[in-house]
Amino acid sequence: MSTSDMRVTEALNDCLELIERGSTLEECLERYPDIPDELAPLLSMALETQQTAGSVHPSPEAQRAGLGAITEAWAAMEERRRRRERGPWRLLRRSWVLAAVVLLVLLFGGWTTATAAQDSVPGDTLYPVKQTQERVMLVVVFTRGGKADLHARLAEERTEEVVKLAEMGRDPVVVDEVTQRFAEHMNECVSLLGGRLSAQGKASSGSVGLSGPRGMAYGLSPDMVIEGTLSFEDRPRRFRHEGRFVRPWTGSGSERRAAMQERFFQQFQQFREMREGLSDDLIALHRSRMDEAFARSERLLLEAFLVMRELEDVQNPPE
Amino acid sequence: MQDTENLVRSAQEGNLSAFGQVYEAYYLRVYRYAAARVGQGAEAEDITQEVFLKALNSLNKFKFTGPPFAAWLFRIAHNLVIDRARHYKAAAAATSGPPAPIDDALSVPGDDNVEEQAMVSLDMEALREALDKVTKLQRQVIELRFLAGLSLAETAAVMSRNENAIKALQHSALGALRRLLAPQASAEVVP
Repeated sequence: MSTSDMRVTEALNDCLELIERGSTLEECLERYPDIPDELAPLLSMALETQQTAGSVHPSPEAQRAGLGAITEAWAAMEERRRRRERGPWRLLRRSWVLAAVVLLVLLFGGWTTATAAQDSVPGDTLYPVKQTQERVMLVVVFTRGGKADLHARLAEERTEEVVKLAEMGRDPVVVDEVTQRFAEHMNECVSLLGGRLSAQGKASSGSVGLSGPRGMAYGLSPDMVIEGTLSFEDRPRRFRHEGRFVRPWTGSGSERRAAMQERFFQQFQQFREMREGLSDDLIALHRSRMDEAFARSERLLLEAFLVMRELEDVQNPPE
Repeated sequence: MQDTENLVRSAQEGNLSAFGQVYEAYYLRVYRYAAARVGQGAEAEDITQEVFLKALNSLNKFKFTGPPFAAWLFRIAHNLVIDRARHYKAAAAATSGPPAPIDDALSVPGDDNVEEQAMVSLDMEALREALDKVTKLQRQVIELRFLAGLSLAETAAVMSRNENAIKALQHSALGALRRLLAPQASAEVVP
């Protein structure tokens, strides 16, 4: 886009906002005396479109009927909720009771259900069983390292669910939710290992920090080489990673961090492949949201990967 | 009327009246968005009702930390209109005769000024025909910004793009519409 086009783009949006706040078209054009010929037809088109939309009205009967349908649906939902609360399943609303039941099912023969639930995705009947299994596992693992491992495994599980949901063409809202839970597992995992992710787009503080406007700067080449810049105690360092590390890992926690790096890197590759494999048949919105979800996950994995590396360098400085 | 966030929060806590107010606040905008795709009338009214029923069923999944409520609601609306438009095209292709218009006689609301309604309908039809000819993204940005009346930020959230991308899209979309609806006038401006 040329500079003059960009100027028209900005001026157009500015004028649309001014008109929304009560300015006239003429007042807007006076603010941009150098481009009135470009702006005027676009603004007129916007106003004509708004006027046409403003003349479109549904029938009042349909609006009332819709409200009636909502009231009925609300009543039905309330009734279902009351029945659940009255029934024998109400005990299961307590998470520890549900956890205990699932534990019993796991121990005494519910393998069929439990195994079937492993393959379920959000929206499936058995998915709540899978979620409860995961909660139970998080309760029964006590060590920080063990929990970090488990969160990494659960993040991987969410990755697989995202793949399945994308293949099934499920609602992108569900994919968003799973991506969010993936991010939560990643945050937990890294935090348990002593690092911190700038997942909210804010530079992390504390012992490990990532440089750049979004907390880190990195580059990717087509052959999957990762280059990154990290800052630790205000000293920027550059990294380059080509799939595997050759430096021997020593000291406490090294093995785990190395394993985590490999895991994060593999998941990163998986998301990249998913992004590249997105079907052209997907509708634009669906596609852009999937793309965004995958890109967000990629960024997160890359950060996690680099944080692991930084932690390792802090404990075992390279010679 | 309370702001949308408070109403949605109240509805999530079990207040039907709050959800009713959300319905009143957004009904017209969702209807206009649907009408841009399937024409005015019963079909657009059905879609609008379905959007709110789906929103009601998923209301507890809405999180205030994510995209704004309007964006969440219009994502539901978008998925539904796309789905309906696909079914309509398939049904039209399966019939041997000329495709039946979706926006039939029922589309005219109960207003006395029949002449004005006819003119409005014609304008809307011309707009819909032009929207059929622009790109999918241009169409969506026009529908969200100028028919549904969403803000730039809300439109960006629905389309999962940043605001600068939406500004550029609305520029190109209005230019494309202008060329389609007023070709002679725009020929003087656009080389």
